[in-house]
Amino acid sequence: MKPRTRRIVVAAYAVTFVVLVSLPWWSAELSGRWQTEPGGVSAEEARVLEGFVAAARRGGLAELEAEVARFAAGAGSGSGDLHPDLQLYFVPARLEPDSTEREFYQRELKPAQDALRELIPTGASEETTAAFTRMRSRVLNYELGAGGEERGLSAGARAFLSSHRAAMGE
Amino acid sequence: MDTRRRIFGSLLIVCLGAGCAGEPAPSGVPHRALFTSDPPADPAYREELTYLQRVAGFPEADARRIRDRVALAATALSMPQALLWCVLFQESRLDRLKNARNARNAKGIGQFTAVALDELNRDTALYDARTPAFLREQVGDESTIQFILPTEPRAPVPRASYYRLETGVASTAAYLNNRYHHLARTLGRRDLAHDPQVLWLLAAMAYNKGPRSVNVFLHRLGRLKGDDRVRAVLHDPSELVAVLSDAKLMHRIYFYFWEKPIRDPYVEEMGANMRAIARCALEPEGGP
Repeated sequence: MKPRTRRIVVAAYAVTFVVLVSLPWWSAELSGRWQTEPGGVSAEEARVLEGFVAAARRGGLAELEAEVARFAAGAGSGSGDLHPDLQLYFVPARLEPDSTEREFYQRELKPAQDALRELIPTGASEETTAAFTRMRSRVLNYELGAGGEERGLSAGARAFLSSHRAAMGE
Repeated sequence: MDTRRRIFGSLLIVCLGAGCAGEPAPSGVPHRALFTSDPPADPAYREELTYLQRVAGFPEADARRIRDRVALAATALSMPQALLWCVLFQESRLDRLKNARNARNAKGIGQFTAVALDELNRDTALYDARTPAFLREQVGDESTIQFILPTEPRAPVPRASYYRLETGVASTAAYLNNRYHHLARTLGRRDLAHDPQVLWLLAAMAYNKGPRSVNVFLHRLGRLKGDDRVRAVLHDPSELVAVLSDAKLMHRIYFYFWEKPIRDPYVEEMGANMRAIARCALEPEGGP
């Protein structure tokens, strides 16, 4: 190898080494933005959630389900960048394989949601209200704990409860 | 994702072999008891308790009744007595009537909302089949637990009132126990090895900020810092407290979960709460 080529190779190795060594520092620096950006759902995700509630108001449960299906079809097949709220409350089939939320979904949320959805088409009744109350209680306990304030509810949980309330005709 | 599962699978096998998932430790190696037998462990909290009793008028008889009821509930539901006592101390300073006469949502000795009572009245069997019978023993067969006070000042508090000391302690125990069982099932589903004693600390975190906050915490911590860090948190309370006290990391963990105006106080509160619970309930380093 010519001396000039050797110098280029050594320099390339040195630059690669420096970049690799400084990666954690860059990562830490870039992570500072987490402290200043608003977080939660993005503006686009918020619009999607509002769309679900609006669909439930327009056409009840059927329209809500159609809107969610349209969104799910347009959002690709993997969990990808789908917000955790959207995964848990609206497109649970896309919960990530290692998600810690599966237990809550399968054991608590889904049975309560299925019970309510069976009752909604029968119209307003004490049973429908009780089914909604049970589902709401599970969501609030899951998200807030024993003494949490409702302002701590995630945007997804709020949209989930509002859309079902709207589907009940309230 | 499969790699992650394989790693956790191997860790589980290694951990079970070493007794770190709550199994008895290998013979000759005593399993370290994390919780103190006589809470509060921290001298500053002991002083505060003395102050409450001698200066602020907290009846010593009530303090004894709380200890008795905590012992009873802890035995019935197999939970660490120290943790239950410290959750009560942290939530209300053992004041069973806290916020009883104002409009705040969180009330009583365990700072319960109506939704938390709702879980105990309708859904508690979903978490642990022992709790309905345990609660019936406290409030009677037909009663649902409520926030009620007698209209006459000297009249006894109804048995089914959360403000009654015995009912308040039992309800708080049942709710904390529900959080533990939810988390244990969540970790079991993912084959995540853990020290059950540390899981009780996470149950206290779920009690305070909801099980979802713990699920998000474990999931995002794994994503950001790797599975080894999750494993460390599930086995070492000092590691758990350290992560919860790292504000920058906590903001990253909860970035997608809470918007900034909520995230700021919640992140601070979670760290402060866990530090307080650990100081109160855990045997100091180098202790027995």
